[in-house]
Amino acid sequence: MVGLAAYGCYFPAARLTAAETERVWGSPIADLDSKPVAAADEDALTLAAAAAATIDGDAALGSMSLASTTLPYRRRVQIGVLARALRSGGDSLFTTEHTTSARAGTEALAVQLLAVRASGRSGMVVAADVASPTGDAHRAAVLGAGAVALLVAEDGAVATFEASAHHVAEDPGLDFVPAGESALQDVQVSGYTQEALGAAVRGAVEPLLHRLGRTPSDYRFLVLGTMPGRLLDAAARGCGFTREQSRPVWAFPSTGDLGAAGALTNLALALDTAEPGDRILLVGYGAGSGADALSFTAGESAGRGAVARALAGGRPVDALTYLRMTGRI
Amino acid sequence: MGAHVSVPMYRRTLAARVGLEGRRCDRCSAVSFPPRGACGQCRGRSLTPVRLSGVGTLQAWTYITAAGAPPEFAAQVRRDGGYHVGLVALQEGPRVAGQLVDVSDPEIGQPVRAVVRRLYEEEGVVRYGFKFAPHMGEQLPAEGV
Repeated sequence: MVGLAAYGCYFPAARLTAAETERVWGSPIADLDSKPVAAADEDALTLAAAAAATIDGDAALGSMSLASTTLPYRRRVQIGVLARALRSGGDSLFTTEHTTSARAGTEALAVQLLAVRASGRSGMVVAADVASPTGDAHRAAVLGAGAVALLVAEDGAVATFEASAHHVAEDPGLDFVPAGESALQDVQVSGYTQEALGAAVRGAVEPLLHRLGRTPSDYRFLVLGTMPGRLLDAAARGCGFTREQSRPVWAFPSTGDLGAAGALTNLALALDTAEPGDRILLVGYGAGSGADALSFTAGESAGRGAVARALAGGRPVDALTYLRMTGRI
Repeated sequence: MGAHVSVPMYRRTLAARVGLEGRRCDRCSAVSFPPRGACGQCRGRSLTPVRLSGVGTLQAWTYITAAGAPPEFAAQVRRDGGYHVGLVALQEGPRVAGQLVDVSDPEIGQPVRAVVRRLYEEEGVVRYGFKFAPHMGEQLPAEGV
């Protein structure tokens, strides 16, 4: 059955810790222990290439999808660098790029599941985001940097894909970047943000559970994005899941908000933890708004420790270095 | 001295800079990287593209201070400060120079691996290329054509 055959993550080595945040700014960021900070010579494409390089070489890729809200260019095909780094590309590689919201990661995965099913050839999904150097300081404080790569194949040894459901509505919420600007803006109305998130997640999850004839208790994990904890809990509760199903597969305390890479990084964490046969419900949410819900069953090859390995060995940086590295000073 | 790579030159050399594509001599099997028109060992002109592993050992290094960096790297040193540059012996044979990343105290003989990073941006075009990071024994793609 079509599913995930391999996965891997990459996080930049520099880390801003909660202790340093508290020392300089007076208080830590809620739930955030540490977050990776991209170096000056790293961007979403180099992070994506680093995550993809953790997956065993497969020169026979038939398709590849890239997800990121912080690619270096606004208008340009950019996945070519990634294809070149993977020693793939040319005439026979079908590629897509997903760039407009944090939902981009699950959009890309949904496309690859369709592409692999249609072509019979393996496909790769790579999601990466770096912190935006401009915009609201409070919002920027939770933004991390990282990337995740998933190999999609007809034989999903890591996890098999069962079904998906999708939701879209005109429902502004959480954050946005106006055309012609680069700064991420926050609507800063937390109650409304929570309501918009909950409606979109329910809009994707409930039809999927109904179609599969399941209830939330049939799943070991509910995988959401790398959003702050209060939003995560509210979104899980809103569709009948518990903290015990969502918090263990929530990388935010070690990564910060990874944007388009958030939900798929949390999926990698779930695959690291899952036992064969565990059911995993993945939900990607993008403000604006839309959500994708995808149901998986963990296979024999899950449990590789990819997230912990990628996070190991970070190098703490002080606040001044952090501000310089992120281009804020 | 600058490190400028023109857009046409960048385009021509991208397979080597990002894909680590070298050439293997059909006559003596010596590998050249960056690729050349003739074998550096036997001058043979029949060469086959070969993908290098990017793994090697550090043979020498130096530190470029922010003040000493070529102008192309001004944006990088403004954000990250000075940087190390190393001479690396790749396991396929060639020796190449490149920046070292994620390393504060390099050691001669240290295993390193190539990673794709931004070199710099000029004329609105970002140049990507390999640099070298410490190699911790991660699984690497197999060498192949």
